[in-house]
Amino acid sequence: MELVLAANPKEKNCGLVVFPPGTPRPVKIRRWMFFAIFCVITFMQAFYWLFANSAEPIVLGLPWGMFFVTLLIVIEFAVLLLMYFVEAQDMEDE
Amino acid sequence: MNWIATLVVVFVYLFFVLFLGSFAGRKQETSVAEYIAASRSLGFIVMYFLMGGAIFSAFAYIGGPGWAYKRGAASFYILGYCALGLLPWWIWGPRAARMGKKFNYVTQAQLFADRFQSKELSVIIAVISIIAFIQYITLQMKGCAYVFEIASEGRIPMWAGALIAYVVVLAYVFFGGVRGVAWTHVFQGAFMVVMAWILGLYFCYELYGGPTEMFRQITEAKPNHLLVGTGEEFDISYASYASALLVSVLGFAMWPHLFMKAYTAKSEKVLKQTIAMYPTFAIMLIPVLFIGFAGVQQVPLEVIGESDRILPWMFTNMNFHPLLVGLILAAALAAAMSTQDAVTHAAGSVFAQDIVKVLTKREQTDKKATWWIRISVVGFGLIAYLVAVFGGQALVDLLLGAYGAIVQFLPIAFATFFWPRATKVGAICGILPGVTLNYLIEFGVLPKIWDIHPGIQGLALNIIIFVVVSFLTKPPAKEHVSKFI
Repeated sequence: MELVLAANPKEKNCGLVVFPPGTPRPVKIRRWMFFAIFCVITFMQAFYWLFANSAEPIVLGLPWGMFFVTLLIVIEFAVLLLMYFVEAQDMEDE
Repeated sequence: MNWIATLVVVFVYLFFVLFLGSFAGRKQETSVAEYIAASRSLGFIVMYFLMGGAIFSAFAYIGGPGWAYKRGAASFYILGYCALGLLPWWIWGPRAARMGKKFNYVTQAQLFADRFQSKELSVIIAVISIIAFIQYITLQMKGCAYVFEIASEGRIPMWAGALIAYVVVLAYVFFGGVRGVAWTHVFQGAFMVVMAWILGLYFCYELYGGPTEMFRQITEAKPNHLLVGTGEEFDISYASYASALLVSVLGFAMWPHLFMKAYTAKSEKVLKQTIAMYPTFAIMLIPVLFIGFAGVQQVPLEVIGESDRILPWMFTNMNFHPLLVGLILAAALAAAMSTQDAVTHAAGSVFAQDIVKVLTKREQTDKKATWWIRISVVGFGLIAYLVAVFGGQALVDLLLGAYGAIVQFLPIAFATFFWPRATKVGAICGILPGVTLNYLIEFGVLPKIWDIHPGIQGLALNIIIFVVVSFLTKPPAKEHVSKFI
């Protein structure tokens, strides 16, 4: 099995290998995209106080900050489900 | 005589869990792969609760309401962390599972040690894990002891309460292995969630007529309670909220008792289903925080003393039926035990597989290796119990900072799968100062920069040294590292 570890063959083992060799380009783009979305969600969760450090208004019985945190969880859940179904097709193809 | 009825309910629960856990694995053969990884056969429902039970710990169930009550908005961090915690496992889990199947790994350190070709690394990871585990277990034991104290109205002392719960946990971990742990989690998880919703919503509606009115009253009386970074006595700063959340998200899946569960799943699909469904646990935690918020307008902190006492104070003052009190306490016990069992099982496995097996020269038979794990489970249990009960506050404080230590495994995990150039010397030279810096800051020897979590500071140092030293040392053999990508 041939394995390319870096773009330049003279460079021995120094680069990062994010995807196993032979991963199609659309799959790479798709994975980076999901990765980016989840990074944004994680940072918004960590820095929620930048956006919603307030008790009012009270939405659906939750104070604004708590509602915002919960909303992020719901969005995260939706994106995760989407990612699962997209990848599930890949898993069946294999 | 009410306490007798309450205690009976708690004991019925304990017997049921013991029965369920011990019998779950009875028909299986005795092998290491079965005892630690359930022969790589668990399906979605069991995996879901197995992972969920681990996050619904005593901290979430007793500490969560306490945080909401005392610190207010800072408790939202628990929701965020629970929802995001398993997310990085999407990267680690399936890869670890594939490697596990191929090379027969059952623990986290086996994977890393094989990639870096290093027995030293295996022992280092195992020792860091076990130290962190003891702290984690101590918290759960205190939670259990506390439940018994309330259930018996002070008649069962701390040492006995912790002992009863732990003997039950040890028994089913000893006999049932990971299958026992998994099946008890299904029951414990479902039971906890149901009780949490009943309680949270009941308090809200009974005392205030609904959550909207409850939060309106809190905002009126304490305008800063639902904000972070206000600089008030029990509030936390912006930096500590953000960095605590980040360290928890990065570190959660690095905990060996969670990481190695990747080996238990039947397929990659099951693993990914578990991760995709995991945020639902965070939603289920919302009513747990309601319990604490409901207490804010009911009783001042000075009266109950410790914020953890808010839940028992609430049901004592609302004159709940003793049987219902028993059920609530059993649910709290379920939360603590479902973390205790997973950690105890992992600690025994890590000690036997990553220290004993690595350091003994003779090849172990499968039967003997399983025997070693069981002995280690009991041994670890005993030590953890002694630390929890007789350790005293000083020792418990010393064991803080477990999360910051565990997150130091992250660069190693990353390098295993993505960075072929990483070397053994780099890994060891990075992780040791990372862990040390974390503990030094945690114990106050070194100052905490800008209130940032010590784990993040240790991690920065760890990564820098890891990368620099890796480039300075001879690259590992290409054929070997390519197996892991």
